[in-house]
Amino acid sequence: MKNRISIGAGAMLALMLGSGSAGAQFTTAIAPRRAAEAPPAVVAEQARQRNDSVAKETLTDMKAWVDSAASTIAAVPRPAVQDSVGTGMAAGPDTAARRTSRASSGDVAFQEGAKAPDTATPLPLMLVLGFGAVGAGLVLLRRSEQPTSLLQWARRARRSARRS
Amino acid sequence: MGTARSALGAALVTSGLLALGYAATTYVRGAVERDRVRTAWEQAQARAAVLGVEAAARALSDAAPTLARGAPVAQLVIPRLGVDEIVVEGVGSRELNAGPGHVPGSALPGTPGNAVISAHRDRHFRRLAGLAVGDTVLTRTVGGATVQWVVRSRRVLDKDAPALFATKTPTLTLTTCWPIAYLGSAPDRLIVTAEPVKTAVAVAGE
Repeated sequence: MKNRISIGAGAMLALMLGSGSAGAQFTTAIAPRRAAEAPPAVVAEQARQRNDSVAKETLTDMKAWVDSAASTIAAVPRPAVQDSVGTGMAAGPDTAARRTSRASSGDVAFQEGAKAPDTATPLPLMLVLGFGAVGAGLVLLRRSEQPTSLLQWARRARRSARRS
Repeated sequence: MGTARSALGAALVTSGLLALGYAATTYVRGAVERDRVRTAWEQAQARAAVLGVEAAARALSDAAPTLARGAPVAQLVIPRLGVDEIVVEGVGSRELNAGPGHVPGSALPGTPGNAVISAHRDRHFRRLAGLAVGDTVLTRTVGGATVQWVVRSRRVLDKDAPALFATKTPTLTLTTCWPIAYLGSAPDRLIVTAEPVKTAVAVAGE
C-alpha cells in the first residue's frame, strides 16, 4: 500500500515538475468516481445465486440432474458403432469398454511374420455329421420296428401261422 | 436288441438335430449380422458424404488403431467372382461370422502398409478359390477412397507358417482356409496378395 502511495505521489510530483517544460498547465487531479453501492436486495440475490450453484442442485437432486443430462446427451446424434467408423474414433463413454473387449477377445493382431488368422470353421463338418446322424438314426429306428433279416421274417411268419 | 437299436437311433437323431440346429443358428446369425453391418456401412457412407469425404478419410486414417470391433471399415468387391462384402474390424469368431475381418493393427486398404482381410471359406470367401493372378479387386474405405487392386500372388501355406508381413507400399492380403472344400478344420491357408493400380477419392455427394 505504501508503495502504491509513494508511486502515485512520485508520479504526481513528476507531472507537476515536468508540466513547465512540456508547456502544459497542471491545475488539478480528478479522482475516479467510486462505483455506486448495490442495493441490499441486489446484494442478497447475488449471494443467493452464489450459494445456489449447479453443484449444490445436482447434489440435492441427482436423479433429476442425471435424467436431464441423459436427455441432453441423447439429443446429440452419436451412433455408437457407426460414429467410430465415420470419425475413426470410438465414441464417448464406451471407449474404454470397447478397448477392454478388444483386449480380452484374444483375436489376432497384425505382427511381422504372424500366421494367418484362424478362419477354420467346423460348420461344414457339423452339417455333414448332423445330416448323417439324423439319417442313420432314422434308419435304425425304422429297422427296430421291422424284421431286419430273413431269419427274423421267417420266425414272425411261423408265429403268425401258429396263431392262425 | 430292438430296444438298444431304437435307443441308438433316437440318440443319433437327437445329436444330429442338435448339430444341424447349431450350424443353422450360426449361419442365420451371421446373415443377420451381415445385414446389420451393411446397413451401418451405408449409414457411414452417407455421413461421410455429408461431413466431407476428406475430413472423414483423414479422421479414419489418423485414428485407425481405435476402430471398434465389429464396425464396418471397408467394402470389398471382386467383380469377376461376384463378391461384394463389407469388411468389419477384427477377426474373432463373431466378426468373421458377420463378414470378412480386417486384422487389427494392419493398414487400412489404400493406406501405406499391408491391409489384411480374412474370412471363412464356407461363407464370405467361399469363391476365393476362383481368384486368379491378374484379377481385379476393389476396396472402398469409409472416407470414399476407392482402390483398384490387381492380384499378384496366390499361395497356399501351412496354417502355422508365417504369412503376414509388413510392407512399405500399400498391399492388400486376403486370407482364408484351404482347401475350400474340406470337411473339418482345414490344415492350410490361402494367401492372396494384390497391389494397387489405381486410387480414386470420391467427391462428396457421389
